[in-house]
Amino acid sequence: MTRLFLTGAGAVTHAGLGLDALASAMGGEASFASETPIPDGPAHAVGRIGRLDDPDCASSYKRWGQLDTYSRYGFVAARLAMEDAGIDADTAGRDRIGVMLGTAFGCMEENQRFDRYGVAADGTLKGASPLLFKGTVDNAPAGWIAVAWKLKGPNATYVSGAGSGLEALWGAEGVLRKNRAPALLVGGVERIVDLHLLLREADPARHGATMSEGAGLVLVEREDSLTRRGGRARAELLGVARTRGTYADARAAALTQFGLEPESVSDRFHGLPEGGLKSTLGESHGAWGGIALCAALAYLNHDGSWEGRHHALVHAFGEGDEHFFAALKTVEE
Amino acid sequence: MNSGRRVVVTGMGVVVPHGDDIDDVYEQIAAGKNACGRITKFDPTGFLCQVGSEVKYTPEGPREVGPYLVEDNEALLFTAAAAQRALRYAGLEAAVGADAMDRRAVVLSTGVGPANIDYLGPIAMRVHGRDADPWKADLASFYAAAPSEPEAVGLDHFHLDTAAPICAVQLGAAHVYNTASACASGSHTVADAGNLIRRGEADVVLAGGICTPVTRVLVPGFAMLKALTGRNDDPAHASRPFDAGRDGFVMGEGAAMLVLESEEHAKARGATIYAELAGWGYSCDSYRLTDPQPEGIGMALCMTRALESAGMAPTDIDHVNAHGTSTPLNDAAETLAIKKALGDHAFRIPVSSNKSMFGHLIHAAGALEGCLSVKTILEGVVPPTINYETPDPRCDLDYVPNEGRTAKVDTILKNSFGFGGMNVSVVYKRYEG
Repeated sequence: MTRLFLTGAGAVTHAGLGLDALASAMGGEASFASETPIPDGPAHAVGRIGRLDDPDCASSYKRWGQLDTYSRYGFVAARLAMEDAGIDADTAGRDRIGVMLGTAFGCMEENQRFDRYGVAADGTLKGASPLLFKGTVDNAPAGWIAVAWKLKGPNATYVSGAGSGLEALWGAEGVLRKNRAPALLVGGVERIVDLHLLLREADPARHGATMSEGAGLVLVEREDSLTRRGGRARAELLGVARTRGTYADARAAALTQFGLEPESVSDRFHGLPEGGLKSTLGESHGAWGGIALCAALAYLNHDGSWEGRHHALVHAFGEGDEHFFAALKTVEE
Repeated sequence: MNSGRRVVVTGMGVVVPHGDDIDDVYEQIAAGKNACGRITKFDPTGFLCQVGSEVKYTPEGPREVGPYLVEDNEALLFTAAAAQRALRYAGLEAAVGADAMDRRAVVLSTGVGPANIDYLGPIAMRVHGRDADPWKADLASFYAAAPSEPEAVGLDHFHLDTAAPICAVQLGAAHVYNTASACASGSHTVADAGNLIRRGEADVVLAGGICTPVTRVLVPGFAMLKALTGRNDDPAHASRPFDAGRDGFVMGEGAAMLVLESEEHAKARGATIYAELAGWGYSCDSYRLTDPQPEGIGMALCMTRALESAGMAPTDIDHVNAHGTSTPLNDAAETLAIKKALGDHAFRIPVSSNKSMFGHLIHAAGALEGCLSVKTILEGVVPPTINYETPDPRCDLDYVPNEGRTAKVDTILKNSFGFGGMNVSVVYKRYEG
């Protein structure tokens, strides 16, 4: 079975762009903002990025202005991941790369925006731009990324709640193992709208962590592709497991699938609402899996291992009592 | 080349403009009956597009599924009813127990359906009363009122992927996910289901899509993109794929699902096998977000990949169930792509568009047309492309104009293409045990 590696990463979070900003957020150096989604209503802490203007994307991609905010998060994360992996226009086989993303709420903002414009008597949407209507499909980020970088490989968007980002990685693993693409941009994207904040207010117990938005994408690459282009591996992806039950039971089942001993694995990158990274990175729903993968790589950049261990589990909740676990391994020089 | 387990179709369920019985729906489609008309769900007077394909009945079916209340949300109502019909067709009960559920999965596409805009209406009505016009409701006061009764107003269901968990309860499935590939989604779910079964990760998968986009926002929105027809004075003839006078598609609504199983699982439980899902292929245009690549390169690639996956040559295909939206760009590009993928054989087989009769069901389209493909294999009548009057020189294949055609059809190539440059092709085949 071919080996798979994470060879590039790009994160867009409330702390800023890239893995260094992500590391600072993990260290508690990035504070959450406060918002009142309802006039005169209670304030909510939120990991907000807002409308993202990226000069590099604006100068290099002529349609940047057409991208809705949700798409921009994914687009910028893709740019960072491609640059981090050292893939540019001259990289052989680049057009066979694909994109597999996850999101929980997708294009909610654009739909809500068009809803709020209202319909004029002549049946037009008052003040609405036809260009931005493109952002009303959930697969807009994956589509824009493919268009901009001419990526003709498999392209899919998973919409499965908080597990979406790692579900995309689960799908990507199957595609790569069957050699249907040399590499895939994989991760999650999420954009918060005020209804999400209301959800949290409605049931704080269900969404215990501060809500956040952003994107985390990694380039997952087959070993033969990596060797061919002389790239650098950040970590090895051993696999993705879908398991069920309580977190402890699901984790134990995942470790069995991976053939790993519990004590050899760092659990720092779990998706539990409390006592982990979500206290500093926030609950980014469908983006979580991708951001957590980037967080694991950021941690590895800094320490060379995960708390002295050479394996890490990245975790996200799926539907019902389902869990996703991605197993990462450090790579030798 | 197919090297895994065989995947078969054992159930189909629909809630679509023509009705909610797939056998009856197919009879109407084979006879060329139109379901498109002037939009009635809102007053479209003055709109650029006033034509839609609506579900004008309330389907019988569950109003609650497990913890989910579905009766106040049309998309979820369609979902639960279509799933119920598909499972009945397949003779399947919900699995019980972790081990049995672990072998079942739901792959759905909801997209422009139960969440997003459609949710605002029912929620606003719960807050403001049933007489409230959700589109005129004061959203600020709606937002203000909503948190006081989160469950009563439905915020606990405010999620993009509610439909799939509902189906998971109905099937008794442990694995659930949604795909979002715009108009390619319906076939994408079928192809993903094939992957799960072929790889041995599931024995039974409920796959399909739901879409309820005939709304006061989405219709003008798509019209702004010049994707919809403007033939408002003649709605019955507005959807005219491959005809020279086509000017855009008709927005349709509904839900469609297929039950897919491994051959051995279906045989072991004595199920009737209606067809085989022989292969599938995906590709991405990476051209523009809302326009197909005009030479059909990506479309042809996914057809070729589907044939490879099925272990078939182009000459093995008896019929193409086209994406055939009735937009000027799609139909010309798809015609080129079919010729690229099938070569001269493209001129020898019927190519028809079911959308000529019910418009474009967006996320549900590929699944509905998949069900109709299976019925075509079983019944031997290739559905026509209706409203075909004036040939377009760029569309020079045999589109089965206006009348269905009796023919022995063993293999069908089903195309679905979508925004974002997503392309999926699926091959359905007569089952031979």
